[in-house]
Amino acid sequence: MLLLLQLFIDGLAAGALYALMAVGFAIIYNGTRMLHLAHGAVFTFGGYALYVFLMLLRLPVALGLILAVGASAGLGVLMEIFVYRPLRERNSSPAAILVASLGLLTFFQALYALIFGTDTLNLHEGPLPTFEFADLTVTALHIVAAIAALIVFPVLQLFLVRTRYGRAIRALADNPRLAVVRGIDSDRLTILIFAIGSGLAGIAVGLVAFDLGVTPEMGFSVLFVALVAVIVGGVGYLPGAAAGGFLLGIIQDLSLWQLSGRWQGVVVFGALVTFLIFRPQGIFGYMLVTRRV
Amino acid sequence: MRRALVNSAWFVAAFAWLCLGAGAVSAQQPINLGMVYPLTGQNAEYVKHYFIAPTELAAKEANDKGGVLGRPVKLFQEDSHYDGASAVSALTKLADVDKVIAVVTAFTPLTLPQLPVAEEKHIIVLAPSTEHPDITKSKWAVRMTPTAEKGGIASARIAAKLGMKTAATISEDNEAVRITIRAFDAEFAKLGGKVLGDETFKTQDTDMRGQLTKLKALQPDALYIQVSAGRPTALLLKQLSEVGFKPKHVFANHLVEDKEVQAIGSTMAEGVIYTALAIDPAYTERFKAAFGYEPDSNAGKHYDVTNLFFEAIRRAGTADDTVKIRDAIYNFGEYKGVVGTFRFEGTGEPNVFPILKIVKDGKYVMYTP
Repeated sequence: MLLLLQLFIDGLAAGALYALMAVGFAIIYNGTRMLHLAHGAVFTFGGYALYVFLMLLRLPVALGLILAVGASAGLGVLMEIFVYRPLRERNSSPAAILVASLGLLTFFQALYALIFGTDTLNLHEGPLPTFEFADLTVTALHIVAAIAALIVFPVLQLFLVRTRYGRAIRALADNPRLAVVRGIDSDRLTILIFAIGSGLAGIAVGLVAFDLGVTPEMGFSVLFVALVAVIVGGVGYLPGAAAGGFLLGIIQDLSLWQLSGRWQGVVVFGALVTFLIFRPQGIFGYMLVTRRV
Repeated sequence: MRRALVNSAWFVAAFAWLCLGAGAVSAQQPINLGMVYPLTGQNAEYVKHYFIAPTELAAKEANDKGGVLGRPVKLFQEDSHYDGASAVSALTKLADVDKVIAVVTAFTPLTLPQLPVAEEKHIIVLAPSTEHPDITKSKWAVRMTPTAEKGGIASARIAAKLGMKTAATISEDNEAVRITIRAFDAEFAKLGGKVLGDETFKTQDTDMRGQLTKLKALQPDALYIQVSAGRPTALLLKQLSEVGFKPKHVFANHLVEDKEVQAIGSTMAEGVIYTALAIDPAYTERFKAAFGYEPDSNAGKHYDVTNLFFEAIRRAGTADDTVKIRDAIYNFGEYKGVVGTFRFEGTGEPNVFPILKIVKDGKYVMYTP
């Protein structure tokens, strides 16, 4: 029982990472209908930015984290302005935009390796601080992940529901043409969408970089699980993406209770296939009736 | 008649010029040696530091002395992406386009798929650090390390000798590693011990806390770690501490000496007993002077296999006939390298058993119980 509980706690921490990435990806997809695969490159960029701020410029940790989130948001915005918007203005097909996004992911992965090398860049030496609590082990990572999830998701939901810009984003996601007719500046709003979604990736990388260091390809595997989380939670519904992320993190770790570690990837694939066959609309698919963001 | 003689003379002169010219060109033609490794991904930095660097050092030293049989050594690299199919493509490209006569490679999942192609093209596969026994069943492969089961056997014997009654293992999901684990489990059981659990993880995994938590619950006396690169070793030792898993002894392989372990914190490796090959201190100094960090056993093996290859070319008297070079390696007899003395008696399998070392006060020293 203790083992199950420990695996559940480990899964929550992993789930927080997946949830942040999934929500960031989903907010961009919902607002723009684009599969922004370069979201993985933005995630990695945040990691390298964090390394530069903390290890090279020796900034305080809190300031470095804020700047890294800002840097991720900035890169996402630049991708929108210089890559995606020109393609949309030329009426490029969704397939062309997808290929462009994949190209960005590959390009940035290679660029990171060129600039920083393929070595793992560590932000922390030695094991993470841990705390024993009723025979359970909680690392600093668990605590930070919990705090991040408790703050970020409610704040994001409040923003989307209670603020003018948040309601505008939801309107754009619901019906882009009507939103434009009603006077919403979709170009400016898309920039905001990319900033928020990419900023979430910057927060997510903070959960990983201190633990595992930064490598050029670190965003790719996280992006894949985030995509599965969006599908599992229900495409088009942000709380669903978050729920999907947490669910995947938990079942991935709980699977270790009975299965070997080599089956963890199969578990993620299995969840994807199961939902695609039996509930393609995802857990919260019923929310799509009203297309709530 | 006279005209015919003149024409013949011209013909003979032209023919002689061609032969001599071809010989001269051949003498200056480099000896092309390929390297097939994952140059991207989790193992990339380990490959760069401990596989590529020693081969480059050996090639440079040879070239500084005028090459091998008067011919310079030229190195070519291709990325295998830690994928067997990509390794085969890489070898094919090196053989067909770059005209290499041998490749240096590593990792069992990458080496085994290359062998049939190497056999077909008569390319010598120098796989010094691969441990799977099937590697040297090929007539074109050479290894410079104990086979996989020897590491497991050595670790099981020392664990039993130290009074460990129970053990658990955590390992990379890799064919050669599985052989090592099976050998450990079998030897440990034979010596009266009990293996309580075996956990695995994929090569690209970075979070093994779940598996370590599961093994911690079994409360084994000893933990045996077996991986094929430095980064997973570093992550395992770090996460071992984070989940609060403190077995009486931890056993591993030489990768505890890796830079990655030192970067994350070498104190985490304190007390780990591991299998390795002894490294010549003079080589360590030369390597450190060239690259700024110390070599590990793998770096020594890759250096040795490269020099063995050069020496075999000299003994064969040719750098063009790969059959003769291969035979020169296989019948080399005793080769004294920087990580030990190897005996090649008709095959590419050396006769060598690992030694034991321990991390003591941050230093890597010989271990005797």
